[in-house]
Amino acid sequence: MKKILYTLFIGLLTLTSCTDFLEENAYGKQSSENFFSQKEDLAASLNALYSVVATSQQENDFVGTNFLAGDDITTHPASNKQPLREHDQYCVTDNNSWMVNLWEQRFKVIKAANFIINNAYRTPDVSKEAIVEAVAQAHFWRAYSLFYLVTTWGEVPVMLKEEINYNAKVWSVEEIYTQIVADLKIAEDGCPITYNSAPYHNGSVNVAVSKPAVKAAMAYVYMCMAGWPLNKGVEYYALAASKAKEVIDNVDLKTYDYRLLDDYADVYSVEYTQKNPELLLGIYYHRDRAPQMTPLTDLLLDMKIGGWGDTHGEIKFWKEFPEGPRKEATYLPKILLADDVLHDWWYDNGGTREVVAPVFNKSSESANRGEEFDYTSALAPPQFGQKTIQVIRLSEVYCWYAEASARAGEVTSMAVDVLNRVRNRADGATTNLYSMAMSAEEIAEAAYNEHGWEMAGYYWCGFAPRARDMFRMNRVKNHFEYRKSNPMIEVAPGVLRNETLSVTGEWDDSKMYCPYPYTDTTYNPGLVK
Amino acid sequence: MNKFLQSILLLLILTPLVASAKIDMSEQIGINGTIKDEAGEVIVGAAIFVKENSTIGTVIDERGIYSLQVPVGATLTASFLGFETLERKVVKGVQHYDFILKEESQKLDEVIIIGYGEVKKSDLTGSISTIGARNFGDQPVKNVSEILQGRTSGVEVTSVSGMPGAAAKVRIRGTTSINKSSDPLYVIDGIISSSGLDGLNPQDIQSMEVLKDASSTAVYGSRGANGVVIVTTKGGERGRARVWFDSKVGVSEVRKNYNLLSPYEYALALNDIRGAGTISDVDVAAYRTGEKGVDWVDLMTRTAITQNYNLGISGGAKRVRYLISGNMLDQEAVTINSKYMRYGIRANIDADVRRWLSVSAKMNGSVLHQKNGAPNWFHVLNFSPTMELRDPVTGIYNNDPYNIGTGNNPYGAMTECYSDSYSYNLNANMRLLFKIVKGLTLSVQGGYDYNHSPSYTFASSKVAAGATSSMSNSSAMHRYWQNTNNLAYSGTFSGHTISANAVWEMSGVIDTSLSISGTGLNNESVGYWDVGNATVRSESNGYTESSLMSGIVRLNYDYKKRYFVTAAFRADGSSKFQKGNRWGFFPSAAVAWDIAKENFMRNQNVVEHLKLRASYGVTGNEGISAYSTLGMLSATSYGWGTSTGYTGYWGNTFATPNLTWEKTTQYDVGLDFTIAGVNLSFDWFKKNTTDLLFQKQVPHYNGGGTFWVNQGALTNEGFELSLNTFVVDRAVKWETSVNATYIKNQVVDLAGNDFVLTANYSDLGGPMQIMKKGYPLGSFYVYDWVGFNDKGANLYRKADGSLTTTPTSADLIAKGQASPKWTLGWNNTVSWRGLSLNVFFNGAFGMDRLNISHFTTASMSGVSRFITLRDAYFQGWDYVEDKSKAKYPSISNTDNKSYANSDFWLEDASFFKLKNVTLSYMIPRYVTRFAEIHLSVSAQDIFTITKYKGMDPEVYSGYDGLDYGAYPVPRTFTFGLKLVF
Repeated sequence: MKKILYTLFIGLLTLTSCTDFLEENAYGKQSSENFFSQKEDLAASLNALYSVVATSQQENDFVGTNFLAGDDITTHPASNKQPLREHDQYCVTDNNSWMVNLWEQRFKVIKAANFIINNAYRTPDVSKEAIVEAVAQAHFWRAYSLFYLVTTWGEVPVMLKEEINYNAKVWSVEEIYTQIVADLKIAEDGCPITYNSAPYHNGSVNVAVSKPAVKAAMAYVYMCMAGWPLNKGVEYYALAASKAKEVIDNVDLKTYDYRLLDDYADVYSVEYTQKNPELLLGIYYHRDRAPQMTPLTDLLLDMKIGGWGDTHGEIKFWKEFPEGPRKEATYLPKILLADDVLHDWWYDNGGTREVVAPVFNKSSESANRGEEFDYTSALAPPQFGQKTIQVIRLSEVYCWYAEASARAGEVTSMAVDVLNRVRNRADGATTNLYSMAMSAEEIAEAAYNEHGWEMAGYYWCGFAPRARDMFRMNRVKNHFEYRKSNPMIEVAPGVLRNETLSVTGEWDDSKMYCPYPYTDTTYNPGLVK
Repeated sequence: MNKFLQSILLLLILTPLVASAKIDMSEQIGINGTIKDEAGEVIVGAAIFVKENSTIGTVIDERGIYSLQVPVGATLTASFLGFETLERKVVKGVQHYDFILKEESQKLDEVIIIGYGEVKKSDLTGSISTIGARNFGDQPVKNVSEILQGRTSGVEVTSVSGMPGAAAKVRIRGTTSINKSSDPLYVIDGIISSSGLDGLNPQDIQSMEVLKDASSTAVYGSRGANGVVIVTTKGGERGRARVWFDSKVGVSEVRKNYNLLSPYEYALALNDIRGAGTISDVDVAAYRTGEKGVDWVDLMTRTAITQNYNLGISGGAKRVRYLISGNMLDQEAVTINSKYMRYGIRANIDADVRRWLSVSAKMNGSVLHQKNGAPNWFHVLNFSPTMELRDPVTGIYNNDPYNIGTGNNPYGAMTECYSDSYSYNLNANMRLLFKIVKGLTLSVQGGYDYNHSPSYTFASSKVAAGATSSMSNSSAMHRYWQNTNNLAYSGTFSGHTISANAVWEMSGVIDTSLSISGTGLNNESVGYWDVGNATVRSESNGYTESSLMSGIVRLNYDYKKRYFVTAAFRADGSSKFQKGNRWGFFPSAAVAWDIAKENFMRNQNVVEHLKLRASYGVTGNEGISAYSTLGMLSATSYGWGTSTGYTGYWGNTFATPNLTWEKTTQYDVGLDFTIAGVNLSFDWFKKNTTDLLFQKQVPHYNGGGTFWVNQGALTNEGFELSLNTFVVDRAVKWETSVNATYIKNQVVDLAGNDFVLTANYSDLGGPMQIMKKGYPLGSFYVYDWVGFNDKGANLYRKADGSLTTTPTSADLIAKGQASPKWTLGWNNTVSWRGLSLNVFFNGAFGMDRLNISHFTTASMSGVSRFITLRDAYFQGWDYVEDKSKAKYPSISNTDNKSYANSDFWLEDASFFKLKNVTLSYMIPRYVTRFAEIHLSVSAQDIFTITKYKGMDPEVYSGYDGLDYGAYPVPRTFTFGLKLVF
């Protein structure tokens, strides 16, 4: 027995002296400090950044709800659409349950970008260019998110490193724009014109951020700086115009491989979703891997196929929308209701339909993969889709150039030319509506409107939807007054309709912005407007 | 060692042949006699042997008589399971010794298992409750947490879900941690149970001890803060082999349903609110006649059958005792296509190998199988009754066209998709007890838990239009080992009794996981068994390990069994914390005074027993997962628009190198006394938890998420009362026991935050709960609903007292609590001859549930676009003529705002349940000639008295106290037959 005891005690002592016993072996886990220590880590960090970006735009409580402020789109008067409704009614409360996601998702993207910006430089065994390229993309997405924030909340805290800060101070709008421009300049220098290999290029188009996309984004950011609230005016419109022109020139010279699709119906089609030649920047999804959730959002609740009824068109915008292939592709031509009959949207079944409104046709797709959404079919679309979220299209850059150059005081032949390219396609004919005979003001307004029609109802995109155009031009208040008056509109001979969702109250400029989500104001009481 | 094993095997084989032996001591005498119970029945199988030399002995056979050759002056010991052991001296010249054994009841010299030792109940200084097998004997107990529910004070057991196999929430003296587990520590036969109690057969349990105060739990140091449940499994007893077969068959059904709109009513309501023609006239007619329409609850529920079988053998010879038992449970859910199965086998062997060495080996093997999970009750209650189940052409299940926006047809999901989850458990435990010198022992114990949990799922593309088929196959392996070395000493010197322990313990856990999944199956007929058939595949694996090293010393001292002192100290080193913060120290002390033993108490006979106890101690919580402090990168995957997964990493979490233990300091004062045959026990306690392992919210502008800090404080204060007595103690016996617990839980500090919002449902209105200084955990955060305005919109009270239809966050108030203030258990057993009746009530009071199921069925919300509750329509503002009678708001008013976090849906969930009634009848062996037969009939969850409007006030889902499609506990009737040979 002594032997046993002896052995036991020796055994115990041996184990005790073995202090490694309490060391953690984190097999399979990577620490922040040890990352970017192999060349493969660079690609992995980009995979993560784009994954966070894709998530941040995959559903409409994450992105776009604030764009219901636009005059192109509105929402259901009752049902469960309260978080959307508050934006459309210009009375967003700090407890809007979706707004906290809208806010958080932007900062998540910034955090994922900061991880690369602040650490990627130490990656070994890769070319300097590869690091520059990765960091440049991260700068773009940080700027992209800051831009969303500054146009939605105004002054916000800006995080340039990964930290926890309960006392963060907000930056002024001017400071934030300065940061955005600085980030975009780094992105412009570092992003390539085109990527050579998968997954950054899918064989048809760039999937990752390219130089043309950054330049286009810069053009629009300058336009916003020229407008409300900084009102930097002519100087910045000129900057915007020159950035847009760089893109247009290079496209015309074929140095940038983009072109307008001939038929507007193809723009948001399933067919072109992975190979849209006019898409400068998209966010790509796949139903099996990373799906998004747009297919049912625009379709009405009382449709045969059972939409979610999140959003639909405003009547005045529809009414003023020029007829032609673009309008036909933008709105559903007819609506299949429960009675199995295809109706005009204004059909109200004796005043009993809850929502009588035009329905957008940009985000839906068929349950059968690869097939276009068919409004005449009773086959319900899937909940999860894979249409690319289109962030910046070439036709927008055309409009921006025309508007910015005109607001800078010039009427150029290029402005007229590119605006006609957009409009001719929209009309499905060479109408050449715009001419050098027009004043700068007329060109600017024409471009403003064309851009609105190009983008109508596409609130998911996140870069330049109609609401943001109205914001920079400080025209939201006009629409507020219009919605308050809510006149009847003749939508077909003898048929009068108006908006079902009422807008009330008095305008003040605080309605231009969302309030900070109250969760964050509780963490940081210093976060006040 | 080989020889030792051989002898065990040999003894095992020979056990049924009970030996009697003669030892040459001194003068031998031939004796005989019988062993009977108090009713005069012979106890067949009872053992009689000589205490000084246990090799001399025998068992009583059917004839009822024993005869032995024994030395004069020897002590005869007569014993049988469930009876008190009796001893008598063999006197020269007396040859006949009869024994009448009393049935065992709870008594003061009963031995209580405490951590790393045992004490007599009379010597106890801490607060420990015991539940013996006799407390739940014939009742149809299917899992171990059912045993704890309502049967002892200080323990709150909540059946969170009525799904078979679902774990219950067990809290000992309240919730002590905010973000980390508040589950008690389970210790099975000396080994920490690292994988819960799932694989344990309740029928194998001899006793359960619940350690509540800090002097009892402090020996478990860093893991003791939530209380400790020590489970001791049955062992064999010396005597004739007993063989038993026990079978129980039960029938279950849902106890209470919501009153939902019929298809016809729903169609009319839809046409009324959404506009005529939403449902065509033809269809409305078809819904009226019943030709069309779906009754979801009827479709998804069923009468369920439960079968439970146990077979066992136990016995013992002179040096070896054994018990082998097997069990099988097959429990259907009351919802379609789901069931839970458990198969288990246990072998417990105790052997006195040498005079100085005893060995005990215990093995438990079990297989658990969960076939399909619970259906989505939220969908069952909210799916529109006016729809076709499936598309007539494609056969694909339809989604809800009118109400539920996201989510598949629940019937399609439960019929077209299937899953199987298994858990294979093996728990082995061996203990060597060396008796070094008198009073000094060394126990060396090793335990190993092995758990392999594979699970398989298959989802068909037929569940919804555009759905993608998918499969997955995952496997988790859990390995835990523990080595405990316990040097124990006890001795008595002229009234001073000392016992002491020194323990060195080490343990480690390794968890590994492996998983593959695929989507887009080319041929769905292969189910989950061919990942190669999937067009898109993903895979993952993972590893975590952690280890704990501990030293414990404990000293028990008493003087003449009047004054007791216990002091203990434990040091724990955990790998989960980084260097410098690794070691935690947990001291404790207790004193007790047995007043009844004092001289001044001698001359009274009112108080039979009176003991005052007080204790103090510190325990901890190290419950964070391994690597939590390291701030490792988060893995993610992106397809870049393709079906290929590209793995990525980013710094989503933050390193917290300074993190260490959460500490709970507990004070306890207790009084045990017996007056006029009534045993009463009272305890006051206060638990202060500080340095909380607190998951602090990162501001969303920093990217959101959480990080760990050691900040914050929480208290639990309360008292416990238990009472036990024989109301009638004649031929008819009625034993009643009542236990009641009051707990006041309060948040003291939240790491510098004034409050923290939790239970966030962005699609229902935001955070549903709040943690706030001065309020209990699980406080709801709601709008103060006051009524309807003149257009039927909800009116809420604003912070300034005015009324509004559009409240803001400033108007939210903290209200109600999810955990009960009072819990109550009342257990009655009435027995008369072979008949026995058990009636068991259990209640919880002072708690609320946020009834989100009620909200979604009655409101147009972020998740349900229409209503399904009958009253919400027919007693809604839009429908009723007299608007003052409206019980629900208008659903057509566009200004109406509905929030799930409104006290409109916050309901008092206090309940009093008749939890169990069992009537059993025992037919003795002498009647049947071959076996003792127990017949029983039971009913469980028979009725519930409650104001709660949902299906069951007890259950909840998601966050604490939120009934968001929670699975109700069904009513069950069980018939039992048990044969003992």
